[in-house]
Amino acid sequence: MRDDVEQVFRAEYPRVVAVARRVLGSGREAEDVAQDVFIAFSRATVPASEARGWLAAAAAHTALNLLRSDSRRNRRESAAAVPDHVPDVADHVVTGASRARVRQALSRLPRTQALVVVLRHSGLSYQEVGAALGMPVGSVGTTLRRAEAAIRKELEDDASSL
Amino acid sequence: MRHPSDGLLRRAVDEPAAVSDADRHHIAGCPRCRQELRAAGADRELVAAALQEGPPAGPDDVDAAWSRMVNHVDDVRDIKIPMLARRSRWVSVRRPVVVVAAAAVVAVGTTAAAAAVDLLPIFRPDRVASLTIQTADLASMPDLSAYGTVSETQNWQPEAASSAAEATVRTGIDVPKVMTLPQGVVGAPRYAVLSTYEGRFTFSAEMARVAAERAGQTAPPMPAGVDGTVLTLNAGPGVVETWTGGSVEIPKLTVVRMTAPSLSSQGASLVTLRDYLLEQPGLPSSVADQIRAIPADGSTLPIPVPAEYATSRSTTVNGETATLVTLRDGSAAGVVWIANGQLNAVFGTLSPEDAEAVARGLR
Repeated sequence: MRDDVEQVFRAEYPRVVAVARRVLGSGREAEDVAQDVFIAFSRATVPASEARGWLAAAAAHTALNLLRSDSRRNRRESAAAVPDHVPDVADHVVTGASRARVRQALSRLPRTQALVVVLRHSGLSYQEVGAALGMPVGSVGTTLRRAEAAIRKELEDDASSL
Repeated sequence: MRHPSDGLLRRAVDEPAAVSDADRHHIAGCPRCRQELRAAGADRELVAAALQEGPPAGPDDVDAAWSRMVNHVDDVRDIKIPMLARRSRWVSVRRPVVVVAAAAVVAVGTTAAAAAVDLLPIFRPDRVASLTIQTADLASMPDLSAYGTVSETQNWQPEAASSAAEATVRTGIDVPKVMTLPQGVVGAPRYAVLSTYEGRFTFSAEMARVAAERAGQTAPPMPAGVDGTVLTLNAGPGVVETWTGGSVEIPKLTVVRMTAPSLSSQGASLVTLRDYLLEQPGLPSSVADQIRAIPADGSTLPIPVPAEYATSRSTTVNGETATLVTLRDGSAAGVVWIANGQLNAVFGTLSPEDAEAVARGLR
């Protein structure tokens, strides 16, 4: 393992878990994602000085993949299951369903939009988001705006269907 | 004045200092832009609230997680991280494993590929051939590094050795003796060694799809079995001799001898990989045609030559096929060839005749 991994791990682990948890909602799954990301980092050639952006992007990518596979699985399971009750508005409020819906919206966004939203809301600057994703910094705001508008619309559509 | 873009207005919400004075002035006096600014801010707040997560991991969590990773890192063989943006600074097409793996895979045909199911040597060249590339072609070439993940030997570059004997001891490779130095090259050489290099490239269907999407293209479907295929490139060790010529630090002559690169595949058949790579959008037909013309038995190492800057021709060095590359302005030349499983190169600020003479005179 490369010599600088432990130092980078200790400095960046909380942020990497936080990025994955924003996407997944689950602390345990986010920790698993962080483990995979740091093992990949330990085998990669990324300089330690650029680790922060690389790790955040890797965590977001990996978590989004997991989210999408979960969404597919959930859809299959939902289609097969017979509901034992119909959820009402109160259920949505008390279960914090808006967070679940935003994750569903994330899983439906084009990958770049989802990544930009997650990285920006995880505290990366526009410059860092652009560098992490290999996109011009001028495109970050446009992509972010579209993504947030799409999420808002999805939440509105979902709320109006209740 | 034109209205600032939605993206700039969105950035103004988060990073107002990044917005120019002129744009700020416009926004302040423009009802339409102010309305968009408020809408962008409202959407930002909505998404931020929905994406809120719990308290960050504390020091105890970090300690436990570090122990977990240290205990399991050797048990985990392949981690697929589907990232690596197009034009990523972290994985460049200049990386040897990507360049040579791609070149080798497309150069290998049915003979070597028919039964590639496990770790199979697919590319063990014993000769070289030039691959002429136009600068314009390079710009449109697909960035194959975006099609998978790369892991490779860190800091693979020459390390100084005090003498030819030390270089040989450290590498097991005899340092070539230059029998006659070209005119203008004087003095004793400096020696260096190259350690062994190993690079692994793992194909990822998801990354290929994302890369194509970013490039505004649709990637051809990845054939079954390609996703997860691992190509392993090995090269080196090697020795390097350099003559700088008096006080000038620019090398006048460099001689390299190293174990020739070889490539192994673990996963899909090589026919599948070759055809898949040749189908990629952006691969110029002139390059694809040259690749198809290279003998399809994994025995030939393609040497990319930028056509605008250099010419190349085939030559021989003591009976072995070699490629002679000359810069168009005549300022430098080099010869590359493979003999006895070793890749040799002679290059410097030389005439083509001198480069060939040095190559043929090595002992």
